[in-house]
Amino acid sequence: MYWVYMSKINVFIAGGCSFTFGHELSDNLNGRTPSMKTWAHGLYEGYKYPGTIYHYELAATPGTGNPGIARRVFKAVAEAHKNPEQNIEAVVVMWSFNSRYDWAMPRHRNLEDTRWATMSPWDTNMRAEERHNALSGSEAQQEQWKRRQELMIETGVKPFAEAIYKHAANEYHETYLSWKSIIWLQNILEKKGIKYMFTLADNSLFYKDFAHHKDQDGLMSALHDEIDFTKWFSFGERMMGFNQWALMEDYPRGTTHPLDKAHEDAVKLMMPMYKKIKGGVRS
Amino acid sequence: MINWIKKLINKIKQELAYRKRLKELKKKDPFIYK
Repeated sequence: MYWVYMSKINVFIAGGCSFTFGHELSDNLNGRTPSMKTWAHGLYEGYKYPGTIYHYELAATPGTGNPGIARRVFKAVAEAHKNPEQNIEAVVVMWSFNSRYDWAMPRHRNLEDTRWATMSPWDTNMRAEERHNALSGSEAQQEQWKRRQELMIETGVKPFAEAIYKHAANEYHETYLSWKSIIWLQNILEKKGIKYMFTLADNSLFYKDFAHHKDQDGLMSALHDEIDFTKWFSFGERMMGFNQWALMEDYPRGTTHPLDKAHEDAVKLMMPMYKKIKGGVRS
Repeated sequence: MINWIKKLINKIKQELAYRKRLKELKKKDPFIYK
């Protein structure tokens, strides 16, 4: 019903990690300003109806993992859903790396919503040489790393990250958590009748080299069967991710992310599927 | 005495395995503090 779109603010929700936030893109200043040149913003801009009010809600945070992505997107969906002036136009998510953890810590004012912490393998102790290589000798990046490390110690996340990666982290559990998050969000979106499209940054979400994670045992196989792949866009065979595709196609890169051109071309590839999922013509 | 040496060897092995695992994880996961 077209009047619904005309009379409400149509919210487009984008979830993901730094690839959706737009790290290193030309309008991402000091790593803090969300980019408007990302694949997600391209889809948002490329499918609008004249005379309709739109809002781009970015639920992406750099460095986050899949449980964190699902949580933030769900929060954005819940907030938009309870607002009678808003209509959720679509949700797009680029799922990230399995190796990142999302945890509600004891409350601290410096944590996200005073509770949530994201941990990645980079939050463990690093040798100076390794850090120097990773930061390419940039003073600004070194400074940001230092600040984050201080915050991690202050909030109690640092020793926890060390312990997790040292004693508990393993690919099976990380895949299980990721898939559970994907299915959880997918089922919520289905239940609410929200149109959505999922994609991924890296196919390690489903594969270890050539072996599929679902073939590990019955539980993983059953979980995999719950994922509706008709709503997924992948960049090539064996669920190739955006970052892998950009590397393979030799797109210009910053330190660790593909730059503007890769996002621009990704939008062209994704748009037909996005339009199909959105239903093409509105009644 | 032998137990003490065994424990130490085990600890070194664990530490090496941890470092190897971290190195592999970091290879896949891009650095984010930018």
